[in-house]
Amino acid sequence: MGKVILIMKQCLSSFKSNVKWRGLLLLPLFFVGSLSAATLNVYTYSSFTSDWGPGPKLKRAFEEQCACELKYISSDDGVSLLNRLRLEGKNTKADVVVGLDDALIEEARNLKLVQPHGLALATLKLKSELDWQAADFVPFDLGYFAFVYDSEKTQPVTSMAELLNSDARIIYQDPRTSTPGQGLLIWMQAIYGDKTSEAWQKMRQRTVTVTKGWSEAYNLFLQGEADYVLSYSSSPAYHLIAEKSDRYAAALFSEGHARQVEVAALARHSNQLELGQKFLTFLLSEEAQQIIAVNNWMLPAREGVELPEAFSQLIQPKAIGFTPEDIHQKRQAWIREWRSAVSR
Amino acid sequence: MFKHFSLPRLSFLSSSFPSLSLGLLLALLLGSSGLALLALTGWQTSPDAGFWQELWQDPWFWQVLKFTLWQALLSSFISVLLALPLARALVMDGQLPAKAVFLRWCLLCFVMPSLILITGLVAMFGYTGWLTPLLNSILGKGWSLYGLTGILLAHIFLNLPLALRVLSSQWASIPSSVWQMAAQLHLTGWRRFLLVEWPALRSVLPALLGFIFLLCFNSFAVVLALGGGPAATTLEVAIFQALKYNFNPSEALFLAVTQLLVAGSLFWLFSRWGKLEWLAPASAGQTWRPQTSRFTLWIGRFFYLFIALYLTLPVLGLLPTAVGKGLAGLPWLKLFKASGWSLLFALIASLLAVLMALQLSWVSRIKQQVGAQQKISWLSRLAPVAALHHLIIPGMVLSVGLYIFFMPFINWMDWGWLAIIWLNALIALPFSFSQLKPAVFSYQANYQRLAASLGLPFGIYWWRVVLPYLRPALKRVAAISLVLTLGDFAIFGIFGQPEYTTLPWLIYELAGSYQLAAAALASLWLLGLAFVGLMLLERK
Repeated sequence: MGKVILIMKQCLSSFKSNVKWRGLLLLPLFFVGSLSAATLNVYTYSSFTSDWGPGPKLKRAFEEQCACELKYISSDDGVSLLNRLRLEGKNTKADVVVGLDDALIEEARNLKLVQPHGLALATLKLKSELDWQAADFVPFDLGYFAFVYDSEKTQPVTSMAELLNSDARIIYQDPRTSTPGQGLLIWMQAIYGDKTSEAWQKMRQRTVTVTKGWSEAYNLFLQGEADYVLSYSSSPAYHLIAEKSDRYAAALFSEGHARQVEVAALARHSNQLELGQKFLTFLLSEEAQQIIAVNNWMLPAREGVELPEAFSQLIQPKAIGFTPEDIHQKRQAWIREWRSAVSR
Repeated sequence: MFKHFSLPRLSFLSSSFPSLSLGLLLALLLGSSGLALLALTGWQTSPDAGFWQELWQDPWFWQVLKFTLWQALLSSFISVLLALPLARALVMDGQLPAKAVFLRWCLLCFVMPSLILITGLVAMFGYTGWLTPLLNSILGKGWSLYGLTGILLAHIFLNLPLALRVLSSQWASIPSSVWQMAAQLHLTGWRRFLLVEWPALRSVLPALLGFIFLLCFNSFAVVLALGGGPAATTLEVAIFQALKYNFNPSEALFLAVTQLLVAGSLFWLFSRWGKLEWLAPASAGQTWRPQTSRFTLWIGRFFYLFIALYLTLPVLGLLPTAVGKGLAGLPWLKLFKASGWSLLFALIASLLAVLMALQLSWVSRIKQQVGAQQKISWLSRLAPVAALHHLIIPGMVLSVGLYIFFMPFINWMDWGWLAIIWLNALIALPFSFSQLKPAVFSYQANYQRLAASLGLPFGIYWWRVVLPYLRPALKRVAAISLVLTLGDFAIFGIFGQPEYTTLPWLIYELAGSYQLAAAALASLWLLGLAFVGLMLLERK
């Protein structure tokens, strides 16, 4: 077996050298391509680039000022995005990466997928609560994980403890397959520490079901299958603005809420650094931050962005959680703890 | 006496062209999975030496494996058992209304995005489902969808239709002459069933069970959502997690190999149990079916009503959500574009799958066919393996493996569409192959020697003799391939580009951006599209 693999590898490497030669033949084509306007390849996740996400509007606004073409390459979600970058390695076409989150930062750093942004953070007017110091990533929006309820049916609880001791029916997402699920994992750890396992067991009693992704869970909740669904504190803003309905609200918990910060960075192998920097600065401009808030349904990372009235009705949670390094180290153990506590 | 005439056929088969192209096809099919697995082995990320052993000793792993097997077994047996009486009624009862539409509808259940299926079932059976009060009053308050019940309801919804299609076409293939002979011999009831009908079923039942078993074995999003939590998990979820969230290809590989061994050996057991039976050639013209007793007739009708309701109500239950917000909210332009791409990919991929299935089933011969004296070439032995093994390899493992393997040589941003078509064809191939095989077998058993003795040129032989005979089976197979590839979601997720977004992907995008009503509407559109496609394909 080992021999076979060895032979395959040899074949591969000879094939690789062939590719180089063929690459030379294509060189003239490459120059023709670079004569036209510069292209900035932005790797991101699909709900960002969909017609209902902020992607298309951001593209229009940025292209007006950059004399360039912005091209989105989208993956399923933040995790797939990271995997795609990891798989593509040096062959990546990425110039800018938009849509990893603070739980994935450490992994992206370890894999050397990004490079320093070279921006003066002080001029970006980032929210002071973020206390942002990173030299590689910049935050572009943030959200608090929260349980959303139907105010016509449910009297909201005011803490996680009360929720776990209530007789409410809950739907949340699997931390093995979804970002909000992972958020809940961090949230529970931040509240309960060593006692998280018992808390999960209580949660299990309240759980209707655990879904693969956000859309299944939210859909089931809207159909009336549960009293609470795990989502974001900003979810009600969608219902307020797009549906003119104040029926759905997020419950404010006294223990605090886990926070997700979505980040952007320059890809390590990009050769469009200047343009990339321009795009990062643009992402944090007031205009872009407004577009992101009402299309991605998350909160701005910049101080003092003017937003529709609906956003002021949202709950203002206190953030609790861990550093990206901690999350990176302990995530596996946390998932195992969750798994054994809830699948009994 | 046929022995003497069989010589020309042999010389035709052993001519170098078919075996060369066959070798190429086999290399492509087996190579795809081989390379995918190889790429995953070669990918070194945090090599965990004790991992295999650790997992082996983890009770969680065994619990998951047990549950995966259990639910798959239950789902496949219930689906087939429920399908049997109705499939018979569909063939024997000339008075059942709207049979063609019903059978087409059956195939649609395959394209249904899992999100939509979950929503539809919950609208009926969930806490607030409109059947729930009734169920509660029957069962005494204890009704809950979430758990094994939900998983079974969903898996039966998805697979009973497949069983119905396969079994009814098998029943229909019993020639009139055999029925007439049975009637002359005064065979009735059980004796007729055992002597006439059972042999026809026996050839497909085990493989059908095996098929459905594998489909349920690999099922994941539905199991998670309706299973009520991680206690109800399949191995596939662990593979997904390993490949996606932990990005640990060697772990994924281990799980995939486990799955390959367990599911593969079970499938092998299932298929050994059945064999293709010789059936007399169907006579043209009027088909004759014996009278069935009034009692069986009404049982069949009851099943028809019951199952038709079960298969349509979850979809109809979506209508209020879908249309509630009006048709204006839907991005029509995007929808048309996505439909175009979906159709294009699906048509090419299913054509490819049908052609491959035809070649493979043509050459994959079995002992019975060639007689004990002749040897079966190893290429022919390999053909069914090549055709069927993609059913057992998780699509995600195949896609990611090929993506990694070819990344240094191929710019997937430009060539992703090629992988979408090829991988979809591979996913559809096992279905096409297993459905086409009986028809090809029956042709070879009945006509091949006769036709070969005519000494027709290769082209005319195929065009005028083989294809007309196989046409109904080919159409059936193309229909299954079409709906399978039309519903693809996972492969596009890895190789797709936004320029050619397909319909299932659009639905997912909609659902992920709070546009749930639009997602429901787009799903109904997808079903409609598939329905029209089937209608055109199965037109007389």
